[in-house]
Amino acid sequence: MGVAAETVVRNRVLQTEWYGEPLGDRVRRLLARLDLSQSALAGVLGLSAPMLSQLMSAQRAKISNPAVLHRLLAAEELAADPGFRSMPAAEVKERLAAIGAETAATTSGLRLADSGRAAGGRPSDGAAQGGPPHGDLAQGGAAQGSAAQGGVADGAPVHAEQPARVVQSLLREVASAADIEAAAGLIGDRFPDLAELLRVYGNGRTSEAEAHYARVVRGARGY
Amino acid sequence: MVGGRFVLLDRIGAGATSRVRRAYDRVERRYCAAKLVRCDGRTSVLRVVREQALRLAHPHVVTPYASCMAGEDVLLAMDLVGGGSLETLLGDYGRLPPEYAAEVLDQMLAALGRIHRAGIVHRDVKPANLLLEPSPVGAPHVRLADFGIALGDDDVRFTTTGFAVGTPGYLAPEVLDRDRPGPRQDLYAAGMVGWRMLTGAGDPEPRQRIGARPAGVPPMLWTVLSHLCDPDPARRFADADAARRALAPHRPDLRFPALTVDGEPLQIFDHLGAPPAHAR
Repeated sequence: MGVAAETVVRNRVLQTEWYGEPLGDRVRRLLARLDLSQSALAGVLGLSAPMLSQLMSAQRAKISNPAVLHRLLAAEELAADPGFRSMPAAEVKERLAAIGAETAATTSGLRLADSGRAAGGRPSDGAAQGGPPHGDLAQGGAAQGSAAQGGVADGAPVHAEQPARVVQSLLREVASAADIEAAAGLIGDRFPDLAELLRVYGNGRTSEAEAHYARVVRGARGY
Repeated sequence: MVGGRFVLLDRIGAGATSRVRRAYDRVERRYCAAKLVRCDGRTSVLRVVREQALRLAHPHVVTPYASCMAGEDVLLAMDLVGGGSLETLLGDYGRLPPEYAAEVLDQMLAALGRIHRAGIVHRDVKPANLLLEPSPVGAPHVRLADFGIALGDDDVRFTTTGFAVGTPGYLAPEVLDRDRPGPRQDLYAAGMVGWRMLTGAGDPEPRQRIGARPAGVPPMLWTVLSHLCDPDPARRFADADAARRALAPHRPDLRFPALTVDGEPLQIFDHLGAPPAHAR
């Protein structure tokens, strides 16, 4: 096997570890579901077309920009929406545009509201709430998250799944997927539940995190 | 074929008032970027004439080297820069390593020093207007482009709107408030570009405060940035060269291949690929 082929094999293993499966498989499924071209999806994710192609072909292993990973999760969430199949094309387009407009700072915390409110995660809304328009990224996630929650001003109930996403955002703000995986590995033998928590919220999908949250917290509270 | 000289090829970009196509220049026998500007009013004609008149030779500046009429449009021929823009790079990688950001900032300031000495204010410095040459090892070569709204020292104002022009988050407070353009507004914008590189944040808000120094950024680099971004133009650096001098001692050598903050290869991709087949 040549060096290039070895790199691809290694990167596919890393991607499976970090993202649950090779990004090529994961992104192709999303493309089919959204009926988008690769370059259109690159635009939504805020990645260049060559970068998306490199990630999909596993020439590169990792999505370096955390905002891109957040947008990928948001796009997958949209595609998995039970109402997605019957959603008018114009609405899909609008939702994708809203996902694309989310910036690094806002995606770190403001994607708290359900995806129908994705447009609420824009920086101007942060400013309107009197909070810092872009917080210091090292600390801004949690603070902006609470501001956004307060910002659901029309009295909409806070969905039980949202805390799962807050924890996801928080973990991904402080550590890379590889670091979280390594940390989970270190404590796994003695503290398996904590290790699972790190893996599920740090590297798992939003749906898994939400399911975990519902199981653990709602179960404990006897909902 | 346009102007007996340019063979127009694929579309490589678009702006509010222009489209950019790759073209083959038969006189110079090389590929170029052909910016086609629609001239449908006094303002756009003036703008294109002015941009056309800029002939600044500098390694970090892209200005037209030739122009001609193309039907309703004016064609401005410029060097083809194929590595995307700093905006693309930030999208692909997020926050950049401090030494990398410092290098890009230095090159940007070198470009600003050159145009300011020629009496020109760019007025729209932002990541999308900082083009990059492709580099598989990530060696940054920045080129400041799009002088469409640049202003000369002795200019009468020629915008029709009466509003400050530019991109809101990168506009200095003195321009937002009192519409006083000047070279130091470009320094402010350069500072905001630096803030994006070091924080990985999206576009700044108007009057963005740069906040606390992110972990891992050398204190002196952040101090240089805070002087560039000072809301009071009198407290910014006197000129781009002064900012470069302040930056120089805090600019460690870059090593190649360059790496991102999370240790992945930082490559500047070729975004254009091979040109389509065409007649010469």
